[in-house]
Amino acid sequence: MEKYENLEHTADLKIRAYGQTLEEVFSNMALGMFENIIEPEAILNDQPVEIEIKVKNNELLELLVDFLNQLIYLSDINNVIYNQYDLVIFEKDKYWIAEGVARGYEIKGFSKEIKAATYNELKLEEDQAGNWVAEVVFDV
Amino acid sequence: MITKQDLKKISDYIYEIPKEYRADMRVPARIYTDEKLLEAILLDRSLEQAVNVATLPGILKYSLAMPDIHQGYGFPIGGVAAIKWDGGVISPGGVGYDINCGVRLLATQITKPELDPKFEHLIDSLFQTVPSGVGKGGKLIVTKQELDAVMSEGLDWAIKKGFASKEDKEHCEENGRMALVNPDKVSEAAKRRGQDQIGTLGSGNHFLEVQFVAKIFDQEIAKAYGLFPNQIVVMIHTGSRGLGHQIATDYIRILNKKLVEWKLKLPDRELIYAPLDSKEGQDYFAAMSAAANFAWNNRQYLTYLTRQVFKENLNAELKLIYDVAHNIAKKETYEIEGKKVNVCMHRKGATRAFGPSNINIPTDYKKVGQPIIIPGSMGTSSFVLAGTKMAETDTFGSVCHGAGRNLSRTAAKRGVSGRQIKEELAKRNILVRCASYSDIAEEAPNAYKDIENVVEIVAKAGLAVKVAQMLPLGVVKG
Repeated sequence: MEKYENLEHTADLKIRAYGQTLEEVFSNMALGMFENIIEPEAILNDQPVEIEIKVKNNELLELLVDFLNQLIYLSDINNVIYNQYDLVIFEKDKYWIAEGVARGYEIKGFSKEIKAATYNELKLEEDQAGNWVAEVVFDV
Repeated sequence: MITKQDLKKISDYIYEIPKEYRADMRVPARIYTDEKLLEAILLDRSLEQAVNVATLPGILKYSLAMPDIHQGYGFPIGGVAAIKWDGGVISPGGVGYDINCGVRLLATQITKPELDPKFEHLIDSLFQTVPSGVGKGGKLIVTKQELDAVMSEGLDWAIKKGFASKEDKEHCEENGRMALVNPDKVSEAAKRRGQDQIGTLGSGNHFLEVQFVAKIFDQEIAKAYGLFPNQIVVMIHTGSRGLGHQIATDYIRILNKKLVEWKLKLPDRELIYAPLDSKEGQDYFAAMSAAANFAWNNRQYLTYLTRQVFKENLNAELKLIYDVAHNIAKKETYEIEGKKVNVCMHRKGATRAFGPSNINIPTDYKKVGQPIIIPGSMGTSSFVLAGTKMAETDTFGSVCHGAGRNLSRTAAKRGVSGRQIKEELAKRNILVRCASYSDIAEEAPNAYKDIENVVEIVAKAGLAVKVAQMLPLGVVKG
């Protein structure tokens, strides 16, 4: 199964991600985001990093934006990319929570800058077979 | 999708989407364009976004779109809205993620023939000196306390530090300082990013370009601005970096959480807004102003570095012609139906264009109007225009901000590599120094609308006067 694809968009970057679970579609969207802003040769494979991540929102759709924006922040201040995720996503006391560990590498530099994950044309849907698809427009 | 049939032609350069087009529109949408450029504009969803802007509470006269309009999020890029201050709203989507992204023009007294033999060395020195590239920290170290001063004091901070002169300050829109500012409304996350990135150019369409004046259209105004043929000038285009991105992200989240409480029905969630008299609205304005002040200091510090390079290499001085903000919301006053009205002026990818004798422009430009700096896309020309009285009455003193995108980034990149573009530009004697080739491919000249056409439209519509055209010699990019 394809993890994600880039869609046409005039000014920005728009990604459609797929997953058999919520965790997978979140992870694949994040992976797509990072693979769009980094050249493989800029990844310092001998400098692995790991960070705990937790975001909380009363709406699942917004949780995806929070998750991506948290990663943008962490990546920006630490100069790293994250390409592997161990996540759990669950609902508790009327809030959706995504938590787990993001792993990745230090990098020499990004090839482009993502300013933010936006709510513009935002989608997160489950089909009848239980597969998830998400679409996010990033401001680059 | 909006089609040509939905538009009413007002003049050769103005098209209107009437208020009746959609029930939720409070005012019509007006697009400054000619027939040819309109075809390109109709290809994306930017006009629908201009219609969405027309639904904002308190919007006055029109939702305006400049000829460089293209699809953004919330507002179109090239979108302008004057919203009444009393009882109106503020929308972070009308400012954008890169708060106070802007451009400034610095002028030398040297000419192209004098520079030519030393040029390659100069551009290399600039690339080594000016921090560029994504996320890369700069040379300027500020403590947390000092960062608060950067955000509170605007360009006065740079003067205090010796990075700016008083004349620099006078030649910035708003004198480089937003007044209603409060750094306490800026999150720790945003401050952290600001501390890391102050004094850096960044990437994407941000650049530092060495240009020469190729054509003067208006002798008198050019003289007032200090511009002459073959003169070497420097253009700097950047904004508030990660600090501004984080503030926008933070407040768009905060405001979206108020959707239910405020009973807002939005055509697009990126168009989220807050009443100007709410705590959230005032907090956003104070934080956005802090980012704007940061951005002016950012461009100023890069100016300081650039001046050092010019001094060392050419013994040349650089005078700041003007600095404009093209992603910002400000309190401005306009006369509407004989009454003075305070407005929250949203310019998202649009430039202020005040005409002669406006009290907000510096004394030395009072007779001719405010300089408007319009950067071209990579490898193409840039322009200096002058603001007009007509802009003040017709578009709340606003014009275009650049060429405007034409192709999606992915389409721009397809079939052409950054290296190829660099080589093609080198053949035309334009040197490119950059941190990433991928970034260059996305900024390929064909990814943008024709800047000359965009400028021609605002000039013919009477919103600005063409003053000078500059051509690039070398560019430093992220």
